[in-house]
Amino acid sequence: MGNQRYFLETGGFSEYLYITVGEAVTINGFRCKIVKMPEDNDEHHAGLPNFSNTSDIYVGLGPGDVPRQLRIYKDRHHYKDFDWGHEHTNSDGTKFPKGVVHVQRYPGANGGDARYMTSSEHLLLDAVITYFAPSAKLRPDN
Amino acid sequence: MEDRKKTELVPKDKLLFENLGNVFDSTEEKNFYVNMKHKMEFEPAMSNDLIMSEHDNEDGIYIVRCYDYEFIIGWHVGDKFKEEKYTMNFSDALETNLKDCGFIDDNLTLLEWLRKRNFKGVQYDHNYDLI
Repeated sequence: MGNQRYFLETGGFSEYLYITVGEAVTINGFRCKIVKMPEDNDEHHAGLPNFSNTSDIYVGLGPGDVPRQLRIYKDRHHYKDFDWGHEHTNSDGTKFPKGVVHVQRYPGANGGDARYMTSSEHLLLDAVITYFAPSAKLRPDN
Repeated sequence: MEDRKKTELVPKDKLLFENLGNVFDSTEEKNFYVNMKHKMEFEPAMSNDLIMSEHDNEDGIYIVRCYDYEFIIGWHVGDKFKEEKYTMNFSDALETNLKDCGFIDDNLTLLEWLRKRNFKGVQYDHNYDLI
């Protein structure tokens, strides 16, 4: 898993930038695991990679090794991010509180605008998010 | 990456750069604005971009750019972290009061803190997408 510089269309990477933390698990057909960049030490400044290797979902850690982001890949390419580690504000002022999962897709029409999870995303990913981050709220209060 | 279109900055950041003019307190400050504008417009950071490491200043402050123009400002000393400040644009990052965040004792915004150290420790080559 790594960035575009090392991506091989035929599979794998010419150089691996990230390592696996713990074991990979398969939930609802998604192969998922926590990854981190060794160069980052324990500072958690590096986000998740742009490209996946054999997994469909990677989970990123924040300070204290607390999971804070899940990135889903389609054909090994970055597809969507599910974040709960920070408050997000859309361009129209709509706020998504910290601790509640919001979704971002890049590149998008409105830059960094987010939304809550759709019904189909809940169906597929609630179990994944809850497995890695039991305290993350899947829906807003109202 | 080279084919990516220019990212349109949010209105608040556009205004910030429009109002900067061409008079800066130092060459380092000018470099900071020029480099940050270029990064936000042309250098996406899907895996984040480390602008200041906590190891490169005496206060334990770190600054991370996320995606295009979102920022994390945090404090990390030893094995201790404090609650990070996450901003949706560059202007809000610069206006973040570091004392209010509990990061430092002096009543300084991030921009004032950077000016005070004449931007020492700022790095422009630590985009995790590109390393």
